[in-house]
Amino acid sequence: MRHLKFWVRWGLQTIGIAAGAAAVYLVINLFSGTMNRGEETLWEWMLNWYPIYLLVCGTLVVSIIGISFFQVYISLLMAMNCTRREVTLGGFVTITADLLVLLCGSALLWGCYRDSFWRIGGSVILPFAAGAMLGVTSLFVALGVAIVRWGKIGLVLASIGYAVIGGCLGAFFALSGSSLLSDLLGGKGAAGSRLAVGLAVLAGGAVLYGIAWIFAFFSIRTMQVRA
Amino acid sequence: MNEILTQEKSIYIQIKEMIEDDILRDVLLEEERVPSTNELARLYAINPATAAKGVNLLVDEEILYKKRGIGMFVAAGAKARIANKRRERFYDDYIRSLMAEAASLGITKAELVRMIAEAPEDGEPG
Amino acid sequence: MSILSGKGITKTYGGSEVLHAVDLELEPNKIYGLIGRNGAGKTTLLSILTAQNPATAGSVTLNGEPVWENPEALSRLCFSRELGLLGGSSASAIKVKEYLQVAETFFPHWDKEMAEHLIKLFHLDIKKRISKLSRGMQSMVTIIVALASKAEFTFLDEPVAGLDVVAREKFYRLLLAEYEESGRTFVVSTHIIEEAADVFEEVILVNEGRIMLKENTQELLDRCYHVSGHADAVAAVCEGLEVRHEERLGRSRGATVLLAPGQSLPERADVTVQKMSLQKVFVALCGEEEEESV
Repeated sequence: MRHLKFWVRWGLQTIGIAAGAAAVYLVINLFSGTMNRGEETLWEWMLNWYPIYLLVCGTLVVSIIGISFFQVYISLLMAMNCTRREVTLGGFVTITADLLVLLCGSALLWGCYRDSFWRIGGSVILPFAAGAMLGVTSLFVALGVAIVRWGKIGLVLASIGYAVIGGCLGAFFALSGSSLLSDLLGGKGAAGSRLAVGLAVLAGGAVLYGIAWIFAFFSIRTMQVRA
Repeated sequence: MNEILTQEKSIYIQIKEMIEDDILRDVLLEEERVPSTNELARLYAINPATAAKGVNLLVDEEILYKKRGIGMFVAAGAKARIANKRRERFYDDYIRSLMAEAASLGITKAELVRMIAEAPEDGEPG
Repeated sequence: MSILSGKGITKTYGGSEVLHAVDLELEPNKIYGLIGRNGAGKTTLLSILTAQNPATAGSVTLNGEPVWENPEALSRLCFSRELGLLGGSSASAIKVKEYLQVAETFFPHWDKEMAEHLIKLFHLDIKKRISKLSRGMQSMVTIIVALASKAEFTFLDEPVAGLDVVAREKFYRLLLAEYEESGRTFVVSTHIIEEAADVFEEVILVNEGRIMLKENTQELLDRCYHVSGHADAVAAVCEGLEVRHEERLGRSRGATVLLAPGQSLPERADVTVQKMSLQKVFVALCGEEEEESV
């Protein structure tokens, strides 16, 4: 019960920050006028875009707060008599649940507004988004593991590694990725093959996420609290 | 010289008495150099001025004397002088308190004298 | 009544062994003082006893049950760390309020009233981040968590570091009041020995990764003497006794003597025999031999 209380509070806090960040980003875009509202009413426009922002901002918020789990809460909770198993499990379940809540929340908002979502988007966007979320978060979990294992040096090394990976991905996306992506999400191509791609992304993300947490589990099991 | 300093007396008094004890016990011999105030200060981790205060008391009593540029030395006849001084103080230091305590316990003077007569002779200092 | 016992605790950090097969048994309802020099292994020992860190070898049990990864056993322990040490990690980036809130969540017997009382007593600003607190204020957080945790075995790592004399005095009074009322076991590690000596029922002396002695404080003081005088006389007095530390200065010699049960010092007028304070005993036992001569 004690654990549930702590983790639920932590998880809800994260969701709150994510929802807030998405809203702020939405408002900024609204007033900066970079987005073309077209014929939609303001309300329609917001409902249309907020879920997307919620997914993107939310994933980043959960991931970044996830880092604080590794940096702060593991040693803090161990000092408060939690076993390493309890701490790892708590972090894993809460972060995963946060991602799930974000995904479901976005889907619901979207689904309520657009009937077509369930026909075209539901089948592709959800597994695709879920896979992307897990993939991104697993990168941050791996960063956390680096911090747990190698401290500040781990943080620096992992950051450099990510800068390189990010650069490569960015280059790829700029060259060919964006058209692929818009094709996929824009409803071109056969529904079956698009679903297959979505599921493949989901599977890839899930595997990465799982591996990252398995590493986390073993690292936390043997980590030394600074003495 | 290697005693522990306590809280009960002023440090410089303790330094002084320690040197006196050492002279009585032949740890420091007459016409021999005594540790400088700086050495004493280092040994006990005290301020050199405090150590100097104790040493200067002994200079005033002509137990130590200063050789310019060399240091402090035990004066000739210092041991006898210290013993004399302590003998003179013996009544004040020991007998008064002995009598006071005996009186408070209802021990008569006669009983006290008998106790002293029966007590085994101990090793004399020095 | 519970007993916390460590057997053969060995700890290796990056190739060097900091604890060498330490055996230690803590009984209920006692205040232990854990004293030792910097780097003697005090914090490491405490963190292993409370299963915060794994031991390289050896075991820690509470009433026979291993403590490692055992929620039931852990719920009866509290290790209140020296927060200044967390400075390197980011755990000290959180606010005092959050730290205490987490403590309240996880310590099953947390005494909220007491925590609030202590916050007021120490004038602690709980809105500040731990890393922004002064050394003394960080110690106060350590103290509040330890006392309010109400854990059966409570370990305080350097709780008085950075506290002024008045605050230290206050802490020892609080500790004694809580001890009297609850009968909890406290293990307090400290460098400031002199004023704590009367608080500790037993002292555990750690030196270079080993427990040098664990003994009732008064009994230890009763058998430690400092003998000084002419080197020959001191040597004669110390004949056959356990001499732990000697200083020499010319013909003068001082020695720390530990009497075994039944032993006594012969009465002689030509040597000075003095009782020692716990601090002097500690220095004599743990300090390096230094010989000074004129």
